[in-house]
Amino acid sequence: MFELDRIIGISGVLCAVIAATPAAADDDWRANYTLYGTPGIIDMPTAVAPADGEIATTVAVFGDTQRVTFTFQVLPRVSGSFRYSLIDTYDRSFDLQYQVTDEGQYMPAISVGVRDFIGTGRYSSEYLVATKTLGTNVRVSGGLGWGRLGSLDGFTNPLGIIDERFETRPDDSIDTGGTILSGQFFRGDAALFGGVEWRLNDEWTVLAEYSSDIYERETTLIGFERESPLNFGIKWQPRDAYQLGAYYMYGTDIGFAATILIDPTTPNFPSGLDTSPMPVGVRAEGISAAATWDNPEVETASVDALGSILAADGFRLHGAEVVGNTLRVRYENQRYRAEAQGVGRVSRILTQVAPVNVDTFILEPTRRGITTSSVTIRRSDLEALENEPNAAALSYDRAIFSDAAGPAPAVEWEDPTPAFLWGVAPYLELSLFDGEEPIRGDVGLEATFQYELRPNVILAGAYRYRVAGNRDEVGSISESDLPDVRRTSLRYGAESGSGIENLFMSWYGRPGQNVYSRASVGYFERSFGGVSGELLWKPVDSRLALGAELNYTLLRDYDLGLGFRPACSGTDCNSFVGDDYDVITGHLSAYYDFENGFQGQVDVGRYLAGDWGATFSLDREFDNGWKVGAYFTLTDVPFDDFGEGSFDKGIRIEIPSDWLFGTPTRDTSSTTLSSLERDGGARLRIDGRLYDVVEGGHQGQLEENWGRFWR
Amino acid sequence: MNTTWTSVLSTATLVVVSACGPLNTKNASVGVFRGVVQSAMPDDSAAAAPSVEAAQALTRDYIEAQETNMLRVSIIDREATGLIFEVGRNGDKVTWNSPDGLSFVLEAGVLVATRGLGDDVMGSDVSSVKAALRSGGSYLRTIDFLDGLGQIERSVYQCRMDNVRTEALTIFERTYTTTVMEELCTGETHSFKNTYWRGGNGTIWQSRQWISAGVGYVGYQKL
Repeated sequence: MFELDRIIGISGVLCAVIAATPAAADDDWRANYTLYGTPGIIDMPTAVAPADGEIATTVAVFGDTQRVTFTFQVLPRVSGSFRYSLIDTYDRSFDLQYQVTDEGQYMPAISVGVRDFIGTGRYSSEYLVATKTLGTNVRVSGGLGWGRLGSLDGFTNPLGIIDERFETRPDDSIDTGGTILSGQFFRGDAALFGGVEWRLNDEWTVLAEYSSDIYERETTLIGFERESPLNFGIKWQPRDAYQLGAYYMYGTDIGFAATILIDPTTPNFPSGLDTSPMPVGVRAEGISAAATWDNPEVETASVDALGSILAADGFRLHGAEVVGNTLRVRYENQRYRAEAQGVGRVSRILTQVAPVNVDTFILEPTRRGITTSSVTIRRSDLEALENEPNAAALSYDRAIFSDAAGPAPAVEWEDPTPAFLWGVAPYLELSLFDGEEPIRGDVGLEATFQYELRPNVILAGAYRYRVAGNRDEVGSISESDLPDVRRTSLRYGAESGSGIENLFMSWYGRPGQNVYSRASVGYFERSFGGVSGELLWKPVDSRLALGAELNYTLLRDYDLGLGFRPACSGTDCNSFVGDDYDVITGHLSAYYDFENGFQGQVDVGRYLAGDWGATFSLDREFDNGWKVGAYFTLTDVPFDDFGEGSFDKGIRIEIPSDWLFGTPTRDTSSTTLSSLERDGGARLRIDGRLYDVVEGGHQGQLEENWGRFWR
Repeated sequence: MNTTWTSVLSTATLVVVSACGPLNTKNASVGVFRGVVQSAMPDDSAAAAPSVEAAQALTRDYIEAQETNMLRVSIIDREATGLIFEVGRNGDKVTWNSPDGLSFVLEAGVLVATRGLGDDVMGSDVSSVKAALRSGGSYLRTIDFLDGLGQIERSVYQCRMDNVRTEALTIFERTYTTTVMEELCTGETHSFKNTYWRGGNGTIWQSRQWISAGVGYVGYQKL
């Protein structure tokens, strides 16, 4: 299921990107996207690799076939795609393409790819393709295809020379889909395909191809007529941000495609529209700060002033103290996504406020009331490096990073912001691709509140009231032997239209050096409430983190009230007998921050249906806050019992809001495209897990973002 | 289903207006939606970027009455003009801020850094420019920018400074005899031409200098 609570956010990204990107550059010929939403011509692939990190979303229609594809250039040579299509039925598919060689002066670029390699395999095919640019405006591609791409005039598989078994293509797919179809890769008959892209000018490209796909499935099942292997098209790309195409397909049909392109590495405002930082107060030039804070009255007044100045720049001061020649401050950065930028701005404010006898600053940024790190900066370095060339690298080299588990600074600052905050905002909730009906959704109002007992003890909740929508039309629930921990999630709030989304209290702590803790109680998510505890070990400079989580939770009532319920039974899942469903779940987790910007995570433990297994995730994290990743979960639930999809898997995207608008904020929009929601491999959803809280303040991310220290 | 969706979308539009309360800023989708509405308006990038506050009716009397030093600046491509005030000094570098949060750092009249313009100069070494303003010549210049991933991007420019003419420059009733110096710089991706009106004692009374690809040129007059 494609759960898109923040659909406005995502569509907003698309619109903002289209409105703001410059017209297409003429010096590099970027990848053209096909009706499959992958790099290629019309239906056939090419060996062209899109720009690293590029995200392309394509909507394509021809005949009765519809495809929505999301393609991400995972690495400079690797493209990955997720597709949701209407063939004879709604179907999901995943593709991968690897560019083996770049184009040379005489050598073509060569790529190898697998299409629809997991699952039911309705588009299952593999290919080897070569692409060569002739002159500046003609690109010619030719390749060898297997599976569907070997279905027109297929000949005996040349790989049969290696092993005769290559000559037959077994049907590897299982009824529930979801498994990798490696047993049929590059097997069975092969066929040739090819085509030409001819660029007329910067905006227009003419396309022609010979397709080796005979469209057997569509011809048999949905009456598709295919009279010719030749496809023709014209593509219009007036800006880098989108491509529009019109096509004449297989001698019978007209087709259309629209692709929206996002390059996460190029925001509209690279340095942001954040207001200017306070200039460094240079002692030699004279500053208005006190000579010392030895007098308690001076100390209180100075900390007061510091708190107000920091508050005006989006920081909340927890406390400050001067010991010897060192000023230590503990604060929370509430405005700037990059903690390094926060450290830079706070330290410049300190140069104006710190007593003249102080020569060292210790900054302790916090999240959710707990310290994440301690950064020591020499005052003289700030004075010497301000506005100098290479100032960021030099100041990083001179800063010292360590753990900040110690006691709070002696002088507290009373934050005048009330402890109770509330808000009312609209919400739009969509669930897409859930099999029976492609789109379901609600709009309404969401009321949220937050009450801070201590900076690290927070009670928060959200209540939703539906104004309109069709999420109440819940279809049939598929049968399963597992308790319905996720399968019936569409029923939550469907009838009542409103209810408590979450309501829980969390207490964060620092039990010791390098160790972080969380204890939570309440209604964590729509389906579960209970108690949850977590511990995380993560030294400030370590790329590795280890965590442990233990939860005892009960299954909530569908009406999103305060009650709990038994798991359902019977056909259509309409009978509820026995005790309320409760379960102990927990995981041991390992997180690793790879040097190339990838972040891996493995969670091993017990899931909500009582099943045991592990979740594997890999995310590419851009230094500007974008995240694109994928995950899958394997548990002891057999694929047959799991139901459609065989096991839980999906991809996820997180977009920082400051990337979009340039204005500083820590907000992000995120969404997950996952397989159908089933009961196996389901994990408790709880906001504020420790790794997410702590990661941004540790040395890895501070270093990645140190370019913003002087911003 | 079509009917339902029309009503859903129209309701969404209505509902967006009604966000309130101190916590509503945490709702990213609302902010994003507003951003989209704004970006749909013409000339969005200029509208979204802050500009220097519009200049008051300036007179020499008003200028003399101010306690802090002032510059009149305009960000030429954004057609924005206003006053900036001296707020800090670090050695030869002077930081000038606008009331709406832009800042410009000048060293002997040469732009060293900016903040708040969306595509800022993070820092640069202008010692060779200062020397060339006196005697002309060719030299290399390095400018640090911040790229889209938050990393410092160093660009090196091959520059040449020429004395092009002398000019009597009048700024609010005062006239200065200036030498007009033109600086031509060529880099890997961008080239630019800066102009300096240098007074007899070396003061730069007026100048037009390139900031970055995303911002273009800034012009200023010393008041």
